Amino acid sequence: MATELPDIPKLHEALQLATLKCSERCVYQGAKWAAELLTSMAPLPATPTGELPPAYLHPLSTNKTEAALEAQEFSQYLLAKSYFDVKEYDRCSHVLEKCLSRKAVFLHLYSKYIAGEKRKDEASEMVLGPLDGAGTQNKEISYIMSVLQPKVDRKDGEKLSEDESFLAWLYGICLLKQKNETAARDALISSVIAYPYNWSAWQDLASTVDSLQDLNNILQRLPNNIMSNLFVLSTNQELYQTTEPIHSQLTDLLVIFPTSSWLKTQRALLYYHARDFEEADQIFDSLLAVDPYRLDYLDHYSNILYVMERRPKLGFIAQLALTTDRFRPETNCVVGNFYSLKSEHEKAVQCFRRALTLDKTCLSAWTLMGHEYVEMKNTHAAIEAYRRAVDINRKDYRAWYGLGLSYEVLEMHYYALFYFQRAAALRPYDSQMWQAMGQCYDRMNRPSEAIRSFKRALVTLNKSPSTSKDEPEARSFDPQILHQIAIMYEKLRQSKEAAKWMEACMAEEENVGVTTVTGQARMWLARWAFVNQNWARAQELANLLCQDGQEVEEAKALVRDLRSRGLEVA
Amino acid sequence: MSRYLTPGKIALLILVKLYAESRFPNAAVAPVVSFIIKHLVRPKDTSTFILSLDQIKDVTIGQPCTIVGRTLFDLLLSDMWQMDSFDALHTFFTETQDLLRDPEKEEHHGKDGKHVKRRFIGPTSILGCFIRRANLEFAKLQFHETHALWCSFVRFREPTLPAWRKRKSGAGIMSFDVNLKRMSPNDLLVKKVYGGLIESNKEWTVSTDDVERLLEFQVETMQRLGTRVPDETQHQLKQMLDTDVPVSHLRHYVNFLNAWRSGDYPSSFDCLHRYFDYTMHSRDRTFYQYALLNLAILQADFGCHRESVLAMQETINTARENKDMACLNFALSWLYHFHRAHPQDCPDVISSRMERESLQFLKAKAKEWSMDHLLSMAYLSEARQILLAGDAVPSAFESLLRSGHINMTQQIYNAMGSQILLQSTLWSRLGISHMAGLNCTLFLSKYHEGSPSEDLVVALCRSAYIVSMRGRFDEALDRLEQADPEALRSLKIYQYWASYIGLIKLRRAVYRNEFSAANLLLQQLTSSEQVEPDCALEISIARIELQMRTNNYVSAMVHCNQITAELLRDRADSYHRVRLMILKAEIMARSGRPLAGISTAVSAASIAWKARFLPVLFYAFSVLATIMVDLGLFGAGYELLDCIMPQVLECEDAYLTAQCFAVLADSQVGMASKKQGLAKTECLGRALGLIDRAFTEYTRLQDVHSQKIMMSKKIRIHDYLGDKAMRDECVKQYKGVERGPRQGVESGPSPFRERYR
Repeated sequence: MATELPDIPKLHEALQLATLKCSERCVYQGAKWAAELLTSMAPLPATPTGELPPAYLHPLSTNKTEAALEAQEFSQYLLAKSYFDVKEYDRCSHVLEKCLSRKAVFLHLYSKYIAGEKRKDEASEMVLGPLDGAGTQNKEISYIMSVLQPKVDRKDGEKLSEDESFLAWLYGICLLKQKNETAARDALISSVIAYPYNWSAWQDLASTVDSLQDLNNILQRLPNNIMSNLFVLSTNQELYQTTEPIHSQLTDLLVIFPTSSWLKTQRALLYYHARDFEEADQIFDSLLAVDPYRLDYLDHYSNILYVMERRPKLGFIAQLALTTDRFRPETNCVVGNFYSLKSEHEKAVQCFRRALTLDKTCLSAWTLMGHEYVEMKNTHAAIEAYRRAVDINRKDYRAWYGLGLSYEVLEMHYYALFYFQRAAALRPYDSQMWQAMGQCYDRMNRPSEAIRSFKRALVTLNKSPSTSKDEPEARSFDPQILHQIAIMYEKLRQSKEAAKWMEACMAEEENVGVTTVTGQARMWLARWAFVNQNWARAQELANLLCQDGQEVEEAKALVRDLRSRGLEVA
Repeated sequence: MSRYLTPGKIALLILVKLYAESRFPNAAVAPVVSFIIKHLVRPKDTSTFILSLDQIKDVTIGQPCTIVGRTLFDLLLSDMWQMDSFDALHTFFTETQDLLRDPEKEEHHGKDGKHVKRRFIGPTSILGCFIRRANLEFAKLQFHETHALWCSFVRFREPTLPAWRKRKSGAGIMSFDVNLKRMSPNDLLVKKVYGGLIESNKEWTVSTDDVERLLEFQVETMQRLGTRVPDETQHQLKQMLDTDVPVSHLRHYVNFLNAWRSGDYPSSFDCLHRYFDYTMHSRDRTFYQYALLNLAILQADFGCHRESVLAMQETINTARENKDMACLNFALSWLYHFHRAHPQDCPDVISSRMERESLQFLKAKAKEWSMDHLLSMAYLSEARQILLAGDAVPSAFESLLRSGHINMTQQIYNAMGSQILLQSTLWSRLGISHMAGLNCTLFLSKYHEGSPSEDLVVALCRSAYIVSMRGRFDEALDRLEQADPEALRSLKIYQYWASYIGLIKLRRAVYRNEFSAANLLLQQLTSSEQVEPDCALEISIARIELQMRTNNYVSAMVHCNQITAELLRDRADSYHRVRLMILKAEIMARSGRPLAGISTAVSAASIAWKARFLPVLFYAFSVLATIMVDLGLFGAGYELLDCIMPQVLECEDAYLTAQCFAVLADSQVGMASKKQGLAKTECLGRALGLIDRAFTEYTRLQDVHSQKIMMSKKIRIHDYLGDKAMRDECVKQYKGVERGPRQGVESGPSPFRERYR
């Protein structure tokens, strides 16, 4: 996608307006995002008049009739908004029932939607309880849809007005809730075309994108706007694309928004997906130093620290999050991760449950809870947790992978295979997925497929687009995989091929040193040499094995055997 | 908010760990471990509730450790500062669990790595329990609670930073958290996480457990000693409550006890109800009987006797229902004593039952459930009952000894007071007031620790009274002034003490013929409602004496009859009844009806002799002798008294002695009237000697009126004998007596001046 430098003062104004418009319509997350982005830009030189932008406060619609309607319903709107602000959603909705302006209609329906969501949460009761799940629905959606459909659905492809874009967004959300993704995508695209500065709409659009292919498909239909760039960037990040062009795109964007913590976080997440934890850690660290009150994406940071096993740091981050807000899902995820690292899985589950009580759509909490249930050997609960994670976001490869692992524990390999495939599709360059798939094939007695999977795992290891050059694993092969490939060949009774892979496995000793696997490979080779009556080689390998390693006894037996045979040969 | 863990406890845990790892030599083990244990077991004094770093430092800084040149405090410091992050705190607690594993077995398993010499701490030992409890409590903590604990630990450790910097180079102001390296205290992040640290007050330095321990200790002390909350503890408690720890409901109970002792009936009632309201949900109805028990005692203390009996009956019923034998027996014993003290307030059903079998029942039950305290008390009650009924003294002694034996062998220290006091009463009834006084002194000097303060004050009053009987009023009052002011904060005790002071002053005023002062004192004493029965009787007797002195024989007689009737109604102590009989006889004798008095006196004397109420018996004799002298039976009167004089002197009752001497003198004079010549002079000379001795005794009492009578008698005898010089001398003395009451024999420095405490 072409990145052209937009007009900075205009962008400023657009973002200011976006913030105001969003917060006018009580779309607070969007307003927050826009305002953050706004302040991350280099400040404009002071305007000579020093006045506030003309559209300050209630920016009227550009459409004349709309503006007139808005002015007419202004008092009702104000009342409704104040109701919304004190969380009396139904009342807010009721006040605006008869209003006609688009803004009022939006707020009327949006507050209805929020009220429905709230009721749904209340009805679903306990996390993972009997009522929690697909059975409990937002009951307001059908009404909202029936109101919106005539207003938004344009068969003739006519462009929506700016005011209608919010309605289209709401329509898209409702369609999403009904799992009608193509229609939702259309509605959302029409919404962002009509008004590109509503980030919430972009986010919901991103959630409809399941693969790179999808992204490429919709790319043409997106408006030529800086927001599209941001969208593409974040969607790529969510799709685990960590290639160089994305990094450069990010760098370009950072020129416009030099201090944007959101963009920096995207960068950190890119590093995280590329398994470059040090870099990611540093970015997050610097972000925290600037704004210690920021809790967004802290759960991802805690995942990074978890993988790095930096317990003191993770504990500190947990403390930090705690002092900001105990009742944020992010905080609870961080604390849960801390407990998990301390092997206190019950407490960790408790924390994740709390996070989910606060926000049922907290993706990382579902996935992490699944992990904890696996640790606690509660496979069924784990499967359910992973399933919920996947339901919320199909792009979470960890949940797919976790599902596969859980089914493997339950010895349901065919199921497991499916999930591993999904995980591998999301992370085609992650050897772990392929390995797991290979093992699964192995269990199902399909060695040739297993070999292909393992070989793929080897390839990914080498082709991994890792930015740091000094990682030793990047250049070498994992002896474990080599060994497994060899065993697969053995199963296929292709001993020569197997021996070749065993040799390769043994050769890895140069890189990774002597391990159990290479020892096993050596033993295998020794025995193979023995069978092929290559006594000298067998002797040599067995003697090496006798020095140390796990197979000492076996090796000694082999040596004895060799000796006796050696006498015969002599 | 903390249930159990505090930074101090963490420091203790570190010390336990150091001990388990044998990081200090054997010489240091005893002081350090006993310091640790002092803070874990039931508290003995008030010093163990708030554990500060200074206390730990004081104990550890002098102790050597296995590293040469370092003290134990250094080790503690380094261990404390090695906990350099929130995570390290977790790790520390996890590691302490290893201390409970047997190192021998671990070796068997072949634990790789270096071998650490370690003591084995048994999981059931005090230290083991402490480690387990601490771990459990730590596991129970929510994340934010753990965070708060960590922050308070950081604050707790803060003052040792200079010491730690001396020992470790590179330690800086931010070394309390390893994550804060290369940061300054003004960094946003640091302020965010530890910002509130500096300003916030001492939250978390105490835990609920600490407060509960303090409260329990306080309740125990109050119940054992019957005192109020000392100011120091109250201060500590307030300090603890200021830190917003969730405090157990025991606080209400302490408030209740405090209010009760201070005589604040409404608030004690309120607090008691509040306490039981709050504890109902946690302890169920099983404690209902205790609530009732407390209520009954409370009501009795504030004079609502009928209510109290009803409550106690309910207690007994509930205790029976719940098969709570301890409570039941206590309630029965209490009811028994209550019945003894206030028979008129008990319903007939109870009193009839109490009369017959209750004591036997109590004794049997106490034996059955091996409740030594109750058994000892039952024996004491038995002895008391024997005394009251005027039965055989040896059996009273037997019961007393039984009780004493139980107290000694079972180490029931707080029953010692009642036993010794009863013994003292017994001695004084046998007329050996020296022994009685000695018993009181013994109790005061040897058992004042761990005895209820009520007993102490009673003993003090008793001993002061005995001293006052010898005429040493100032010394008696002096002694009373020495009462522990802490004990006097309790209303009941104060009233008892104050009425004794009033009584002694009253008697002094009566003897000194200061009638207006005496009347005022009487008014004051009788106006207060809560007066112990024995004290009230003494006051009544003093009133009769006063009335006799003012020659108001009619009202004295009326009064006397009235009290006798009351005593009869209450089936009270026969000792007192006899005393009143004698008083009546004396009134009759004084009012010129000696013949009417003689039968009363004789019957009183016979009862007194049967029950061995020796001082009363002597008193009866003196009255009888007076009557005989009045009837002209001088010889018989003289004989009657002369033979008991040694024992009378032993009684050390100055008034009795003086009266006896006066009667003796009178009878000698009477005898002289029947003799002639030398024998007559001899008799008169003897009379003069006796008058002198009576005068001395009266002087002790500062009884001006009697002194004057004695002098005038002496003047007349000298006049009769014609000894003018002596007569003039006596006249001068008489005038001297009349002029100033302070003249004459002043008791020298008393041997009882030493302080008890």
